[in-house]
Amino acid sequence: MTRRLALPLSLLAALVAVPRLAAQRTAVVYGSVRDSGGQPLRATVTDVATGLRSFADNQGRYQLSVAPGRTVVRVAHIGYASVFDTLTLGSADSVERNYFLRPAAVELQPHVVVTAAKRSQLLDQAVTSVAVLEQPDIARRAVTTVDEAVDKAPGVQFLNGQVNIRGSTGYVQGLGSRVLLLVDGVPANQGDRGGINWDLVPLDRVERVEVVKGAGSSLYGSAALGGVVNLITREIPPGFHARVRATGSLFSNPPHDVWRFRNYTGAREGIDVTGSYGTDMFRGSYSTGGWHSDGYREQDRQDHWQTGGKGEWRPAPGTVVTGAGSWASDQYQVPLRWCAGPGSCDDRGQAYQPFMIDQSGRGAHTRSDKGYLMATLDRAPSPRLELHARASWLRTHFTDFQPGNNDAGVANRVGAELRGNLAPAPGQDVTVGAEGARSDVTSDIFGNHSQTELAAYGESERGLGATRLTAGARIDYLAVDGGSLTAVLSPRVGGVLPTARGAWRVSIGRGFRAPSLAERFVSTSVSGLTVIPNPSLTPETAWSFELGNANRWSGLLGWDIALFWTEAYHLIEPHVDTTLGQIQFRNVAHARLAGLDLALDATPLTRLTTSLAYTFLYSRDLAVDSALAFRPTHLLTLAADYRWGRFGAGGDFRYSSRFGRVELYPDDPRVDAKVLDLRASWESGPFAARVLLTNALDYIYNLVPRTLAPVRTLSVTLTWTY
Amino acid sequence: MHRTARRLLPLALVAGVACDKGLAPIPGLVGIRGTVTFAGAEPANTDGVFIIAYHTFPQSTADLYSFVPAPPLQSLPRPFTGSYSYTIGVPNGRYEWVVAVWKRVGLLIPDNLEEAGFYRDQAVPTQPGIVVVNGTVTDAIDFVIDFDNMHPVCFYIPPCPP
Repeated sequence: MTRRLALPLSLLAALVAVPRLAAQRTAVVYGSVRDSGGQPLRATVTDVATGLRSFADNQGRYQLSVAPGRTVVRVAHIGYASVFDTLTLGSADSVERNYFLRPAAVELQPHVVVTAAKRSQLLDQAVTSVAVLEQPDIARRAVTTVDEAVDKAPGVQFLNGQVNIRGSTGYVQGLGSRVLLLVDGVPANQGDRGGINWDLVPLDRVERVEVVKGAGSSLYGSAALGGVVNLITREIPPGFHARVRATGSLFSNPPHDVWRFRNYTGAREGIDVTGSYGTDMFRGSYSTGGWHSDGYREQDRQDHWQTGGKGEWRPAPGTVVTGAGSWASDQYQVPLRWCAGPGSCDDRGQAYQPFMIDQSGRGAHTRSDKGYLMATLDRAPSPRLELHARASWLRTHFTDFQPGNNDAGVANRVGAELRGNLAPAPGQDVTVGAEGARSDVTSDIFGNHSQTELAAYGESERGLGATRLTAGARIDYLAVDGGSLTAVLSPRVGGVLPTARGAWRVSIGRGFRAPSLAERFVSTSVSGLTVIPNPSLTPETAWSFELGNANRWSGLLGWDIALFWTEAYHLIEPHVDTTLGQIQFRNVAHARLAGLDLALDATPLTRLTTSLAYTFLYSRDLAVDSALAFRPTHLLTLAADYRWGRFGAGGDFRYSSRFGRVELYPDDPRVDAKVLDLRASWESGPFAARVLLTNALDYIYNLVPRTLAPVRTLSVTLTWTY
Repeated sequence: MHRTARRLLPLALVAGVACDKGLAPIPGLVGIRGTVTFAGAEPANTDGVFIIAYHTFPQSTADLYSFVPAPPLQSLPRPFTGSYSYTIGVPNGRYEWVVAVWKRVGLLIPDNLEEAGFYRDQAVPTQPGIVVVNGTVTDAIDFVIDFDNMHPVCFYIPPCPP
């Protein structure tokens, strides 16, 4: 027992030790960042080892404090190739470095990522595929919500708010996501349903999104069965800064008169305000905002309010204490399914009315409140050791107002983690940690229940010649309502080999997802069928294999390609017992998901950047020998952007092949999805204007049963940044 | 710039040509239409009366739920007297049993369901009539709903409880 406690206690002791302020002096790198034409760039200058950043101002000037010794600095700006600069600085040195960035396509590498291994590493050293979305890229696309920003990442598809990475989740109406959401590394899936509230964090606070594909349970535990999405919030720059963003949108009316459902054009309008102030020691930011939407179909109004803040205390170089929180409240009508069949609505003689709702859902609306608080302590007591501790609290509250039947629930998830990243020898990195979480729910349909998760994990990476090998495992202990513990072991091994033909990577790992409290204990009725609980549900598991290559030729063309294979067992699916008229979640499915994931970028002209992402997916439910529902065989995304001084223009085209199988209404007509988004932007000093035309072809389609996907929408976003 | 535009033009053309407009209106209903005539007195514990169709005559209680249109179902409107012109939307296909189901108040389980009438073969009225739907509404599927002559599920799928 003493030995078991030794490591966590030593980590804790190191974390709480008083920082030796006087003993540590810093060096400073300063200078300017400009493009090849001499125009200043508001670039990000990052100390790769610590992740600490500086932001260049309007004149392109920056200043970055770093620890003495060898330092690698990364200078990055969207639309330009990053520059890495290795410096050797003495204590109290002050060195000027001026950088000139060359226009380039959206970078596949080199990037610094923090999610794949729970520590900073170069993207081409990760053993699994990682897609990265940087904030300027998000801003350029002028999207307004986090899910819109993540939706077009390679291999990622949203089905009515439910995220799929390489077809991991399918669609189960928000229950039991097989993707784990992190906010600055803190798990944020709902405590009761296991789903994801994508409006938990305002998009304006997001600096970067990292999407890790494949099983990630060896470091992250439950829910990371199909991948991990990490929302990394903005760093707070020194000095006073403010940002105001106003957005207005118009929804296209139905393309056919026989589908019209209102006599006005629907709109959406919103505003966000953010302010921050920072010194060398203290930094803080606060943001608030909201929006209203008429929706693009019948009974689709939504009001959203949000507020959030973040504070940092940097008592010493290499030590950061962070507190952050966010609260969002939504009141929205629930469109439910569209109308099909006589008597379901004013069908006007049509077989179905995609813009109108079925009368059975009339009047349904929901209030959803959600928020989180988190505190983290990061400390680097030596160049060979980084320590991280965090505590978090996520709370969700929903009330579904339905004709004659209201449902409500309050859920909490509190968690804590202690982690150390060690570099015991040159070329070797070790990550060890312990994590605990407790989820509880109080609800009329889920009952009063709790689930406790305790875990320990470790992963080591070391060089063997040119190859970097990784091996690690995590063990999770799960207990429901204080009952007996269930143990789940999630190992992972992998390797990266840099060659003249790019970096090759291979990995195999095990993922799992614990049943959500909702899946275990739900008790309600749906369409006359009784949904009964199943407390004996066991975790679903998967083995995930990947072989990938990332390469770049002459700075103008790059690719990242991966072959993947996932074998999933005991998947939790709703089982309908027609004899008893009951629905129950059961461990039933044995599934296979395999395919090819390709991301290609090119800069055919100086100002033109293009990219292509393609995923081929073979999915099979082996238990019943049929295709898995809600998985496209082909998913293609094309993007192009042209920059000309202060102006920019571009577009995305997304093709998703018709699902081979859907549930509920398999006889409904359905089509491939072909969605073209166009955008234009203008920037001048602190002002930026962006115009976005989503679904420009006004392509009418649905991805989930009888739920119309968004129609053509014209949005204008104005931003002022101080 | 012009050179760039020329290079992008083929891509835009390909994208434009490849794109249709997605889902489109389907004029008229694909389904079954007819008139039901009510007979007998409505039972006191009636939840509703539903008209559904089976591709094949159900052989087991599990088959009972393989009907169209898919739930949630809408009951015929009250009062259950006289005659009523009904329409149900169903996919193209051949249907061996178009049946009116009476449902008792309670869960959607076989014990709460009874057959209250069905479309009959014109030559052999004791047998169900075959209905074929092919891209439009198949009309004149008329039959009687007789509350005094209903049959429980076990009448078709034995055994009945003692």
